[in-house]
Amino acid sequence: MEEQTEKKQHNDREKQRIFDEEFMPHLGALYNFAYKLTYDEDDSKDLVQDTFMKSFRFIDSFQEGTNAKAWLFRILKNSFINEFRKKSKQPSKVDYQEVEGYYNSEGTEKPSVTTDLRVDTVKNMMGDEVTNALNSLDVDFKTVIFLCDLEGFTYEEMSKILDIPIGTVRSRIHRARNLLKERLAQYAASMGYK
Amino acid sequence: MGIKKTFNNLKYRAGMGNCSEYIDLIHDVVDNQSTPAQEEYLRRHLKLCLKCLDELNLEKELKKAIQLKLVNQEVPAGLAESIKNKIQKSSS
Ligand SMILES: [Zn+2]
Repeated sequence: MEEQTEKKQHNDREKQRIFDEEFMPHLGALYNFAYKLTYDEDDSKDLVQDTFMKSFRFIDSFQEGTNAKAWLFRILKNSFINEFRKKSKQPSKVDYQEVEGYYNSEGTEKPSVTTDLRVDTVKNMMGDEVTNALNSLDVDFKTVIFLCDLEGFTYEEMSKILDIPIGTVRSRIHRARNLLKERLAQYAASMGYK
Repeated sequence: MGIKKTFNNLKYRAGMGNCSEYIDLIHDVVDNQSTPAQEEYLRRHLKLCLKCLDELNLEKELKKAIQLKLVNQEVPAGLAESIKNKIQKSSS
């Protein structure tokens, strides 16, 4: 199968146009993603700059008309894992495989509503309560919630961004949401809400 | 498909399966990842099951809270500029 993978060689002007039109508009979303991962302004800047430099260097492997945002998110996520997490002062404490194993071993029953969090309670939550609860989750869990709920990626796009099967995306989202509900319920209880 | 499996599948479609079978579907519906047929199965189940209806409403509210209430980080001033400069340098 001698299929010619037509790798378009763009000239400098085209590269610049693709970069400006397709990549730069996602700066805000990428910065927010970086911030969710690192929780530090300088680190986020580095990570975002690094992502854009890489996107430009590998611009010929980007197919125009495909989802630039998902492509950029994937680069950022890989930079974070490969370079950043290593030198980070706060390496993630738990390996998510371990975490997933842990939750899987919680009996075969799927954790249905373990908390008695109520719709009204969620409605009355303030922004930083939600933010703090989300930030308290392990990075892999907050990442899926961020990608799914805030950025609106489909499960399939998330599977490509994170390099995991769709089934794992799904179960990780469920676990992340259950953990988030637990945190919010604890918070509500501590504030004396019912 | 075995006869038992066929029967379970029918029950599921009719909304009369076990609640645990609808949990995935609840998230799929909240995330717009379900087909219209699947949504119909869930709708049938929700007519019979208050527990799953509560769960669906809670998940929807939680998603809404994340979308509306999460603090958005301002992009630092000058970041876009500095990225563009770096690109210019590297391509010349
Ligand atoms: Zn039910």
